[in-house]
Amino acid sequence: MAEPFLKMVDIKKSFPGVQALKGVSFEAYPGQVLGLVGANGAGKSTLMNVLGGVVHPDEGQIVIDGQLVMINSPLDAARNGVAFVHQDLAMLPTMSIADTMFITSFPTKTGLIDYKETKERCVRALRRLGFNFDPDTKIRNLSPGDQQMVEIARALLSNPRIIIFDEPTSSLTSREKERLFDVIDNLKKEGTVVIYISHLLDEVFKICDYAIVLRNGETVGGGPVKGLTYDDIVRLMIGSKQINQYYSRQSRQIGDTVMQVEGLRRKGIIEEISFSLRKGEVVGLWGLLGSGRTEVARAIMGLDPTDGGVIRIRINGKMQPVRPSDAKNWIGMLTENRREEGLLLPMSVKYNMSLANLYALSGKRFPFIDRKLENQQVKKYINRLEIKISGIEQKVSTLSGGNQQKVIVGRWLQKNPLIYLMDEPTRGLDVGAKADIRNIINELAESGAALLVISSEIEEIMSVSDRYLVMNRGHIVAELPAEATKEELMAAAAGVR
Amino acid sequence: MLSKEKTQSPFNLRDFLFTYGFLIVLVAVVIYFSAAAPNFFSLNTLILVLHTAAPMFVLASGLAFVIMTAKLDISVGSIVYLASAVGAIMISRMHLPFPLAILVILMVGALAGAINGFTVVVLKVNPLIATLGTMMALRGLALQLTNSMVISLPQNLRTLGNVRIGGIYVDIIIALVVLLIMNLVHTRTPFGRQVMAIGNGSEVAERLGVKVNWVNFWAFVLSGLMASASSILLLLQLGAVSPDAGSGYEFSAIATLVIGGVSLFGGEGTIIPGIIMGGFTLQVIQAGLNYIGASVYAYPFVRGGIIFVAMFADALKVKVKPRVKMITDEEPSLPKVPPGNEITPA
Amino acid sequence: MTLGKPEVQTLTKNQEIPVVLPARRSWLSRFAPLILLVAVIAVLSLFIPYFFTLTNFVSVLLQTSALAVMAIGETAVLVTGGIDLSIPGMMALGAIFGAMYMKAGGNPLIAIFIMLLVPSLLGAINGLSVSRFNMIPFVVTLAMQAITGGAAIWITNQLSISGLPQIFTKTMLAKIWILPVPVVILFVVGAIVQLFLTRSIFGRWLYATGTNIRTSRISGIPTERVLFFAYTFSGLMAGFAGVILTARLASAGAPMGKDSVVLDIISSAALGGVSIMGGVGTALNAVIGAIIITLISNVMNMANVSYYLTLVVEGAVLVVVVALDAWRRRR
Repeated sequence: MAEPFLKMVDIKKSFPGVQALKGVSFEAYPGQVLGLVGANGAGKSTLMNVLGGVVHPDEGQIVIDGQLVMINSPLDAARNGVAFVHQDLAMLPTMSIADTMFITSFPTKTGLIDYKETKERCVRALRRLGFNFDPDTKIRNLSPGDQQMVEIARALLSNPRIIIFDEPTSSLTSREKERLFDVIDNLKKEGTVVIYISHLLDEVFKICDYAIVLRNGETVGGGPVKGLTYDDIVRLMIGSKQINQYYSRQSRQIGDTVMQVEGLRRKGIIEEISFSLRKGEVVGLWGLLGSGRTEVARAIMGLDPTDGGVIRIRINGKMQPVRPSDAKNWIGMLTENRREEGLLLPMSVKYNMSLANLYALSGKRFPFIDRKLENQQVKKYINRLEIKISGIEQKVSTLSGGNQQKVIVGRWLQKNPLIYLMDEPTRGLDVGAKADIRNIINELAESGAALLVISSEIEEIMSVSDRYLVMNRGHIVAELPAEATKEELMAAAAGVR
Repeated sequence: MLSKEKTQSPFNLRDFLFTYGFLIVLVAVVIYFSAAAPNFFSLNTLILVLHTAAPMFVLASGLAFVIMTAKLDISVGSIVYLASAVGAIMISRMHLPFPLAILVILMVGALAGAINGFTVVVLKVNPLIATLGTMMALRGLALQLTNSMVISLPQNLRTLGNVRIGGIYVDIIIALVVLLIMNLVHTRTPFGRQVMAIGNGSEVAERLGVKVNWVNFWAFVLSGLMASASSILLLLQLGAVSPDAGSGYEFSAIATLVIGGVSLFGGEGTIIPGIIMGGFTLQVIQAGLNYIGASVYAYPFVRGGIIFVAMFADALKVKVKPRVKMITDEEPSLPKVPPGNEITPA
Repeated sequence: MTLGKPEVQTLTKNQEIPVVLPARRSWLSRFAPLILLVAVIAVLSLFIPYFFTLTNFVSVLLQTSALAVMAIGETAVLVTGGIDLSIPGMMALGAIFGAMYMKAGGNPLIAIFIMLLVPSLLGAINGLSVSRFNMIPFVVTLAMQAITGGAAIWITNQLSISGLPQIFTKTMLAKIWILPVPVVILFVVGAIVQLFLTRSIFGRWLYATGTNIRTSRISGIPTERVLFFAYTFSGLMAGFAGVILTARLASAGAPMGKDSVVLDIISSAALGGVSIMGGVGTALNAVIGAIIITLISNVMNMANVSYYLTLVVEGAVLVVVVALDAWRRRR
């Protein structure tokens, strides 16, 4: 194959506060599968969003079939022959396969839908992938894997020359994965350019002809898959010069177990999760996107339903079983989406910080809140956490991310729970705020709390953890000690043995 | 290599109950009333029931579209009153020809629907509040126009309302034709299909390229239009329009739809046979209550009870419906930040 | 008025993420209802000689008392992000049962208790449906209104129950100082509720639940209990309104439970500054709104505007107020 069918040249894209793509270039050839690999935040999705017309690049060019093209919207992308199979499928559960596929492109005869034609086209499209589904089947009666097939079939309707798959196997059974790979094989034979985004290296090695690795918005390496090893890719993902980076931290005094989780499971999402947390310890729950880490935290807090498992917490000196919906009485949780689940945005800092501790703040004046006491407490923790605000009545929606996060920490600090669950505590924060939060985590541990910290940033989690639990596809696949290196962590998360 | 699976739509108990649940209830009801009142189960009764239910069939067929997009329109009762008031005034007071009056009635309905559509889609007001406001405003307008008096139609038109052909009332036939047309629109036009798509999820529909605002707007117009169409049948049947015309209609319409399988959560249901079954069931219950000599005032209470039970069942159904859950990324769920656009540091 | 920009930006043209921020209450929007009230009073005082007198004010308050109490109940529900459309029906049913009890020779005190208990129980049913069974509030309360309204008609055969014992009517319309009993009830109830909403733990729970139920749950707030309470409370307020109205009308009947009353209640709350979307609103808002509505309809009456056109105006005003609220939240 001489000419690349797709060229992306020097694509740059920044968002407020961060440069997501610093000038990425690559080429893709027809009939080839190009794997796009990288850790979270490396820029893979942004890059594909540029190609898919979802995001507009600041600089750079896209060349398709030798022509320079402008892709300003998903419609433009489609017109240029680009199809994008997203990770979350766009499905209409109560409608049929035929309806879902043709909802905006029904063939019509005198204003009415020509269902005979529609169904024929539907069957043809599905058959192209090797399926014989009845086009009248309702989407909700299909498994996620089958639904994905429908999504792919729909993507293929426009006969795209380029098709992008974003983490396509996150909820597929192994049989369905094989099926997907067959489909991709066929697409190759038809000469389509396939771009396959994944962090699961075994898949990349199985299906891709060529791979490029992104890190921090730059291409750091790549080449024909035949010439690469797992280690090569892992190194590229992490960055060899940082392997030996060392985060200083005092070794901590670790005490008794305060929480034990056994066999926690939720069908299809997490399986057989068992671990324990000890006083004064920070356990880092690490894994890449889709591994189920947040789901574990939410299951423990009773925010999501569970199908089984036991949670035990040390209450009054004894380990006692606790129902997930009650667990929040002893656990302070920082969710990963502070705006949606962590804060009452239009309310003041004071309001947000006292939210969990109202009983204590009413003191003698129950059921009314002792305003003086409240102000006192709030100010105390604002100072302690060094939250920068103009006044305690300031609306939290106007605070910076770091300060918002501190407000939530302050909310729990007042209650002084045994256990903290922190999900992506430094997501979206600038360097200074990240450092602040890291310090807070360390301080909390030193004062005896038990913390489970979830993070998708490896430096983050390495700088605070006393040990690691690594998750992949809903299971805990490894437990690593504090001395584990970045490589080991990355390899474990990527499913490499 | 190539999988040869042929997935047939499996017989699903849930889907069955969804569509035919209340048919079972209907049968039970008919049996009960037949036992309680001997003349109940006769052809005559059946025809009378359909005759009385005809306007409601028409009304519900339009409202269905709004409900399928997971919204509500509680102004339909007032639209019925306003439209028939305008029509009656045109005919009896202004002595305008009947066909012209019909045209104006339909326009009134469409216009009212357009106002609702505008308020919900453009002004982005909660549909409940929007149609609550319209409900009251339009009723007030109609009361003003009629001065809260009964307006009768001239004699020749009054008989028109109860004309039979071969023993079957004409308006039953008209209602059936309307239902057939509405069913066609629902099942065989892109608009109808997109209405259902929106009921499955506005954001998903938007992602698929559906023009959500446009479809929502026209659903409201259709609802208003059908409300006014039904008012024509009602006007002819009763031969007059009175100040409490259409009051409580929205309840009956909603009950008809929910009983007939149209879920208030959107994205479910059929016009045929849904509305026929729902409207028929409701009407049978009313007729039955009549036959066994129950007080006239018992009906609103029974109807309210039916609505409550129907909505309860509806809510339960939704809980049981399996939503597709994927092990997906842990991005915040709303507002939706597209993957890759999270602010992560360099 | 910029206190700083929120963090989630609108990214590119293709990625307009509508961030619906709950309303930031600038000074103007907080006091708008009060300003409106003052304006209406000022205008009326100019045109009507006897308007700006104590007697008249008291009379207006008496006229508004039932509506205001109902609006207070509705406010509690609106604050949690829900809505209650069944207040008139619950009120009518409670009043009817109480009145029937009195006519049958029962103790008026117990009758009052019945008038309060019945709507509270009905409200509790609403509350249970919403909190435990996760049913949609407007659907549940719409159905409840249908049932109670219908039941009221059925039980009374469309006839109002009058001829109530003098001791009831006389006491209820007596004056404490210069204030008739209903107005006193309004003040007392209003003050207690206002205090609770703004200063108590439970009030915080209500606002938190209405602002963001997920955050509230994670923070340990028993949101189920909060929702249940809000609807039950709304029923209780309907009960109080029933007592007041029965006394003033000297009768109880199905027309008390008419659907049009719902519009008045919601308009009162909305005009008074209670947000339909939740998290914002106090008892004071409800009362101010109710007074404004009452004054406006009085004005329409006096200007000989037909009752019917007032309905039109009310409907339009409601839509405008809610549209403005929604628009403000989107900025």
